[in-house]
Amino acid sequence: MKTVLKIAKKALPSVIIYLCIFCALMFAFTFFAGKDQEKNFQATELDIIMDDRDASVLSKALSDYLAKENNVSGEFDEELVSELLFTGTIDYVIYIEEGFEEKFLAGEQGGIERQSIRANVAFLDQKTELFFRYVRAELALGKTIEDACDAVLLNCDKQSQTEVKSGKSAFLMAPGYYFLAYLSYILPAILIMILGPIMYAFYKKEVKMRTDCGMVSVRKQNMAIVGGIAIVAMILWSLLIAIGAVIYGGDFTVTTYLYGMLNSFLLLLVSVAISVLIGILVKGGDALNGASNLIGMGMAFICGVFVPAELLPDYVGKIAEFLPVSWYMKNVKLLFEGESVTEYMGEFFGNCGIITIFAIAFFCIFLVVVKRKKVA
Amino acid sequence: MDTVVKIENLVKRYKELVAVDHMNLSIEKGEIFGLLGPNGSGKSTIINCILSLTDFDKGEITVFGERMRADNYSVKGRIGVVLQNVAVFDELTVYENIDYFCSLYVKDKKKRKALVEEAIAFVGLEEFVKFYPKKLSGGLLRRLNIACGIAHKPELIIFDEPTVAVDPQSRNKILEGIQELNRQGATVIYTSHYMEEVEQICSRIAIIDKGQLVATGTKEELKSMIQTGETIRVEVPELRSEVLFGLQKLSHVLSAEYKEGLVTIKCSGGRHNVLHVLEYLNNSETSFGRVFAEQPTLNDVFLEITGKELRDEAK
Repeated sequence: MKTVLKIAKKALPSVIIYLCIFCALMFAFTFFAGKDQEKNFQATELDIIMDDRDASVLSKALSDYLAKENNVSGEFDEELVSELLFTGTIDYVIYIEEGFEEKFLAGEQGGIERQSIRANVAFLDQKTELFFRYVRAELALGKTIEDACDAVLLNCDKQSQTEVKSGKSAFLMAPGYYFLAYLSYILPAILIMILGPIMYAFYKKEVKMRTDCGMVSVRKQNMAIVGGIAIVAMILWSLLIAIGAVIYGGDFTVTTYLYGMLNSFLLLLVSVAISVLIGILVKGGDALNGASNLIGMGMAFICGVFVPAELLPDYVGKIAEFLPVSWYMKNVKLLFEGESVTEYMGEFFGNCGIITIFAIAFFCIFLVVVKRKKVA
Repeated sequence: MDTVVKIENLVKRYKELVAVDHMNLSIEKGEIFGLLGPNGSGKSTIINCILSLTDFDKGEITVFGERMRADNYSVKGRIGVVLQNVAVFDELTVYENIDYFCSLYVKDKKKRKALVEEAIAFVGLEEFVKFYPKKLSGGLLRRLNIACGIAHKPELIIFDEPTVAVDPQSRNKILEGIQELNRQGATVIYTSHYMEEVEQICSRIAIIDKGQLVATGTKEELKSMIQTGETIRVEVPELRSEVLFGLQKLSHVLSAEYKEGLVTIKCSGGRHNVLHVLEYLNNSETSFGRVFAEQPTLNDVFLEITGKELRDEAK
């Protein structure tokens, strides 16, 4: 067991680097994500004044279209506009001349002017252009201007619904969510880095032959290795859980914290099983580093850790179902999305069962590989 | 004499390939017993069977009078193994490596410390105890490999080709070390395809080919098994065919052939073979240069028994 820990100690510098990166990421999320983000999002609604002298179906539809995500006002005071723009009281002014709709229908340019002094409202120009393009597309289908404008506004409503979806968006979760989510990347990556060399060292053909010649039974040798691995894994898990408790304790209730611990412990088991399997399959330290990055990053990406699963193509989601991290992530989302414990208890424990099955499966594959190596 | 290892009717198959074919061997206490054979002849398989590292299909192996099994730890404790490939942990220092492998036999820390230090001194690694294996040269690494196998002071030490890819200086050190261990009382099994090494240190030799025991005995006994007693080589710039024919007809001459200015004459045992050959060449007015006379080697033994060169197979 002492030898196992000595070999584990060799990976310490790399582990520290990984942990530092992890903590830095967590701090970054504490600043840029979390509870205040929803407010920030609302604060990005722009104040628009519209001087609509055309008062046509098209100009009104444009007003409605922009009003869906901004504050649009029709109270126009020519003398005050420049001052309001300068002081930042308003962000954007749209002047629509009389006869604008007629020009638009005739396919002519002009009749509309836009004014702003802030660079960050440039997307409003694009948004209004987009609106006109949609209307033109609807007109091309033979619709009247009223029907075309209604269709664009209706379509716009549907898009909004799709974007918001049900529940909280993954972008609006508390930092504690990110902590648990990123654990599914950091835990397998670090464990492969520590446990891989241990397994490689002990199961290297020549070393295995020599140890098998000794007076210590294979069972006792394996027990010592398992003991060492258990100590290393528990230290790492406890450390990460402690970091979570200290930094993000406020984001958890006692129940969610305990459930989160259970979920992460099962992730630990499956990560250990993957790590020992990788350690016995790959040859050499470079290959282990590669495997650590590939498996850690790969699983995390496919299973929606870095990019919300909703934004990934459907087939990626289907592949993810064959990976344990995907089920872990489902539980993490339940912890932060569910209203009460009883609401998600069944699903939560179902996912826990699946993660456990993954751990057992990887461990069985490991045993088969060990046996095959022995026969060879 | 006590028998340390007894192999009876051993058969080991790898699917269709018969790696060891009805092998019978007996290794006595205090011997340096050489297993000589080309690569793939079955030497390492025999060693693996003795150590219970692999199952075998038929036969029986007894070590120190006990039937050898994978769980016979009392017997295992009396055996030391030095494998062909260096078997150490890259993550541990020289001292830690020897200590770890010694700990597989000796639990008492104090006793182990003394044994580890003794092993380090024996292989001359005192200055490198804190070095990691990757920092050691090939020769030093081999010495570490030996120290890991002998630290617990085994009564039977198995060396499986310990000098492969080792420089001549380190090779001599290793061979001297093995002889010293034998003088200290250890029985040694030494496998190699280098006949010179086997001839140099082994008190008894078994020649193996294709999993079968070709011959066994001391080097003198092995050499006496073959007809060739002496090989004489003479530098002859030009050799007439009737002279070559005359050489072949000389008494004690088994064969004579001429190739690239060198006539090679194989003779059976005889005290004055060189004299007779040179006298004949002189009488037939054949001018000659340098003369070499060699006693038969184990390669000659292998060649005569199997019909092929041991040297060529080894390459």
